[in-house]
Amino acid sequence: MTGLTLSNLSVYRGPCPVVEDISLNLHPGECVGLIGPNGAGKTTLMRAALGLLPHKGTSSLARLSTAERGRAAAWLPQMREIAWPVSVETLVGLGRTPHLGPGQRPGPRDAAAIAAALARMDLTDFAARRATALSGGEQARVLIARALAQEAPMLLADEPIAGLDPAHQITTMRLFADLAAEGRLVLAALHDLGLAARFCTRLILMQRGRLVADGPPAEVLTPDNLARVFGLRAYMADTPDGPVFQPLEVV
Amino acid sequence: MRYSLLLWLLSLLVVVLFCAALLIGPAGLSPGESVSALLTGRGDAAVLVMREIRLPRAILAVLVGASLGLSGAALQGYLRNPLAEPGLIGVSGSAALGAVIALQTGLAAAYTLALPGAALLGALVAVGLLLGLAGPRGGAFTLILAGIALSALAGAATTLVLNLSPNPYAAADIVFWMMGSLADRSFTHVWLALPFTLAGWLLLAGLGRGLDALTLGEDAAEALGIRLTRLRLALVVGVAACVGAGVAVAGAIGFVGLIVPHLLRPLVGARPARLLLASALGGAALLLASDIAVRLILPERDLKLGVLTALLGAPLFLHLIYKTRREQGA
Amino acid sequence: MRGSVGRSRPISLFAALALCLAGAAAQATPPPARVASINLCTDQLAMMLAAPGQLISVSMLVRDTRLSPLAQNARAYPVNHGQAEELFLMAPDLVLAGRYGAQATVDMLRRLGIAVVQVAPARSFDDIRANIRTVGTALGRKAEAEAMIARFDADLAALARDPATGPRAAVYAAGGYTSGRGTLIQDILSAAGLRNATAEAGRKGGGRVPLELLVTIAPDLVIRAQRYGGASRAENMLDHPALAALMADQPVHPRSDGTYICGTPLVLRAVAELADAARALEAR
Repeated sequence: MTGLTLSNLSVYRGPCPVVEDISLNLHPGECVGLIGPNGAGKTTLMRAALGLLPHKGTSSLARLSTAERGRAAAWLPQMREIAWPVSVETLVGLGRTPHLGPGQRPGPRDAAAIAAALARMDLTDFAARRATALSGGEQARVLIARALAQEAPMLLADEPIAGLDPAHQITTMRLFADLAAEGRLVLAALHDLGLAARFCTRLILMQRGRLVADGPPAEVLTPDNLARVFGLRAYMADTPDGPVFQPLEVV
Repeated sequence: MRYSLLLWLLSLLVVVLFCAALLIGPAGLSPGESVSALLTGRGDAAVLVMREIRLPRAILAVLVGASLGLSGAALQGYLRNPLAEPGLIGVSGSAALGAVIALQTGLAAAYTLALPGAALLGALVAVGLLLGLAGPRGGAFTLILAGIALSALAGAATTLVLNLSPNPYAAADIVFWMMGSLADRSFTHVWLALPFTLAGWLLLAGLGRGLDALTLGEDAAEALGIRLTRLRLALVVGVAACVGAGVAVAGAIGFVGLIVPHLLRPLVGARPARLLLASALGGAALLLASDIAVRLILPERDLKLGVLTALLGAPLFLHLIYKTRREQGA
Repeated sequence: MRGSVGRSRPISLFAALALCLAGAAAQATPPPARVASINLCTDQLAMMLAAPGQLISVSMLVRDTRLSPLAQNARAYPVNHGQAEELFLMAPDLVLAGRYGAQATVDMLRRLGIAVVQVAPARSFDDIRANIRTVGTALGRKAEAEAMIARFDADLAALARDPATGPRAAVYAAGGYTSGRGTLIQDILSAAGLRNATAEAGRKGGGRVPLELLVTIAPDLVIRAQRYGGASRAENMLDHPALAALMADQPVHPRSDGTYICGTPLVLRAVAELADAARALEAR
């Protein structure tokens, strides 16, 4: 189990296709940005890929057993839900769920994974705090730490940087890029095309359930695609600080 | 290890209250007499009082209380809603309806297990209907409204069945079925409730990890390897089995499943899994204490247990509604 | 009404009625011709005392064999459900009612101009005699009432036993209800030569006794109430294993029935049955 393979994946809501006939091969080491306007089917594609939705076609993840999938991929839903006032450490510890057998208590390996995840998200000092008492941005970081503690080779995230302040948006995208550089596969649905262009190694553009473009940012964010899919005109340049992308005007 | 300390303390509380329930009663036996009657079987009347009246009553208080506490904690964990409680959302009322139908049709007289079985069925329909109506996320207001409708319907149907009974005392039983009581229950009732209760506990006890994971929401929990369909099924059957069996022998005692998890949640770090066992012990303790109280306050009036638990629980419930509203910023 | 003022017939009817009333006041009150009873116990007294044709309706309850020893006789009378409207349509001269329980109906009947006599439930054999007299007087059957009292006293004297050293007995009815001092049951037990165990334990009137208290009192004889059809938790208590153990060595298991409920001479049937039970207990 190294990458994520989707073949002819379709999801129907009633008779209408929400995701239609998508085939993809994603590899370890890639930081993939899933982009497209609202309603393009990004969330549906990721949930179907995980096997959380009934679908046609195949996904290499959905074919795994529930427990195996839990060890293969971490999933960060768009809804940042923390139902109970548990401690940050407890919440991050939930990421270890797929690694525990029935009735098995968390051991030193789990403790180490939790500590590493907390440290990586700069949350070590928050370990004992109640997760529900944190600010929205802090909660988002706690939930990412939970996904890191899962230590899965794949991370699927649905709009992980929505609602974060600019610094944390950049930190998070940098983290994703780093994870990919370490050999993991990251697939994130993103609305911020500028950050997508800067940090992703590959972009997948969706429109009305279909795959429109797939490739390195510069090849996907073409003026033609932007106009056709987003109705946008943008400024894009390669600078010494990396690629810069700025939407300018609605066309 | 603070969690294990809490469990020890709760267990100790249950043991102390259980002993108190055995020693307190209108017969006015001295503790010495009571213990010797219970253990050695000496003293005719005292033995009858201890072994046939107080012992089954105390055991039932533990069984029913633990079932209610455990079910409350499990339902709240699944719905991620601190207001979910078997009594409030109509599960107990529907179980009572099932029990009353079994009794009045004569099924319960013909087949021993028909009484708890019918109560289980009533509870099963109610839990299923509620989870269907309230949806996976169990929004507070949908849940409460669905519960009100279900409680009212079950209560009316129970009253109707009892009013149609040829037995003139059946109508007076309405209070028992709506408020619950352990007065003069015998070992017959213990054996009747025990198998279903234990089966229900077993199913609910296995839900801990899934409920913990649900803290992150359904999608995340499922992606963490939790099989939600199986969890939902175990929850529905487990709650129906132990609440149904309890209601079949003790009537619908409300608010236990609300008060206990609410009080214990901060003590277990709000973890739904840890709340399960703690709430079971807490529920047993609360019902033992309530049953002792009804015997001390009005020993000859058969004060219903549900009256006491509602007096404790209803203000708490209102407080929870207020808190929920404030947190939602409405 | 107003439309008929001009006609002569209603006026003459009123005149006749006025004459009648004046005449009645001058002589003794004539007995009521149409009497309805709406209470289980007045039903039975009226059935025993009324002149043929005088009693036009009895309550529905008195036809119930479990409540009334006169259930068979009651089939001869039309029943009522104790509701003012149906009673008014029966046009009775007198309605017999209990003292408690139907006050709203009684008030309504009086407002409609119907005479009502209320009879308190009997709490002793003296109350039985008083109630027979009350109903007899209301029906205009004083002589029959006095004869009934005389017969009751004679029968009672023939049956009565000395309770002073008799076995201890307790009644235990659905819901754990018992009868202590100052109840009809007390007099029934005494006449049968039984001591009332719950009265001796300090019970006054009727009320619930917790099962474990009953077990501690340990009466020689527990008289359980007769079972009804259907199921009820209240009656379920009569099957409690502790009660069964308590009653295990009783030679007889009498059940209280309709004769224990109302203060009529028929209580003597209960006295006779319990006197037999007392003898059986003493013979052990």
